[in-house]
Amino acid sequence: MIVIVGSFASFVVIPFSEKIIISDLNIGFLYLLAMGSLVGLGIIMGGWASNNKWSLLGGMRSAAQVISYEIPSALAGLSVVLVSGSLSFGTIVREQSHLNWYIFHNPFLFINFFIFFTAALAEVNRTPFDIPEAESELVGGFHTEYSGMRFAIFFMAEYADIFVICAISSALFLGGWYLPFIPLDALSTNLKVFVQFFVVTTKTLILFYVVMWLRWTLPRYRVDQLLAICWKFLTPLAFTMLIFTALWVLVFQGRGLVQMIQELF
Amino acid sequence: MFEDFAHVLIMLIVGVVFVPLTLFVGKFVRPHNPYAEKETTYECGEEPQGSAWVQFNLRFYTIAILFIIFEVEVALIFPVIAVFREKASQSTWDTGLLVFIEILVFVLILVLGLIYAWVKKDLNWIKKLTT
Repeated sequence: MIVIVGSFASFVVIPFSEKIIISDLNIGFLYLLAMGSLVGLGIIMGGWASNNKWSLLGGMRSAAQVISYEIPSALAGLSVVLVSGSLSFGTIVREQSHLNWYIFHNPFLFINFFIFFTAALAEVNRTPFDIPEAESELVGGFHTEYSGMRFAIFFMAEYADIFVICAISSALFLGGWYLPFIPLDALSTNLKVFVQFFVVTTKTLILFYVVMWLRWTLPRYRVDQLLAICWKFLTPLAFTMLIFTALWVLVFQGRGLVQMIQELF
Repeated sequence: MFEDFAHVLIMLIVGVVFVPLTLFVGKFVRPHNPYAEKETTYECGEEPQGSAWVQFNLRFYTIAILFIIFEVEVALIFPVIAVFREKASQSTWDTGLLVFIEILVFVLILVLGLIYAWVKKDLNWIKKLTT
């Protein structure tokens, strides 16, 4: 139940379009992080309650993984907050009009996008980071003992979470509802909302496709490799990128690469 | 402000109601035929050996402690980060630079902690004990 509550609640802050966002919280990003951890809690409870060794192991692994990877993803998201100066998703997306996508804002945010996506992938337990359920070693992981509708609920939560992280990645880094070379403001209000919704959904589904693609391409990591990647590589890198992004904002007074190129002409 | 969180509450209620509702509906369609063998926990077809609630790997605790430190850091740095751009784009450099140095010092202290854990080999899954 906690699993599904966590993923349902995350849906609240997804900015589908200027009008279609359930609730544009002013602490959107912080709220998302909080709801993301809730899923891990649900999984560890489900794993422990099964009274099954596989499930317990899966639950513990999942807990370790979700909490470890939350740090790089939070830090990578922090750099976006740093450049946009707001925690609300509506404002973050509106800042990215006219190809000022944050992935192209500066080189450090470009790297940060990959940090964020990798860490988010691990947070929702997808391959190559799916050791909590690793069929080849843990039978089914935390959901070994669950069948029928209970299993379906676990998986619905998982897929809802993937959708959430894809939508959030596209909102934070890929410009949300903005597309280059399409003057959205020229359209009438109703058509604009429709186009924006279509653009966001397309971007999200492209990222979803990447997730599926990775699932069938990469083998899964061992548990020690997994934590080494997080603590020895992603976290220091995310810290460095945070500092460099801060430096960039300070030196160029918050302007991005694209904006500066546009100013040249 | 509070209306925003009303939406959150509605979504939470939807999540909470969804699970019992689907299970309740499923109760009418699913077969119900439990027997002793089916009720045992699954251990690859073998008879389960003892309880599953055994002591698990202690490494998980170290990870959890490290996580708490960094997560608190992230939560604490949020307010500074959120106002940083506003300060940095002012015409004078002083305030922006001050905030930047604040962030730098804060992050460096934490990185120092990370380096300490690294040197103590607490980040390795298998730690060799030196006595």
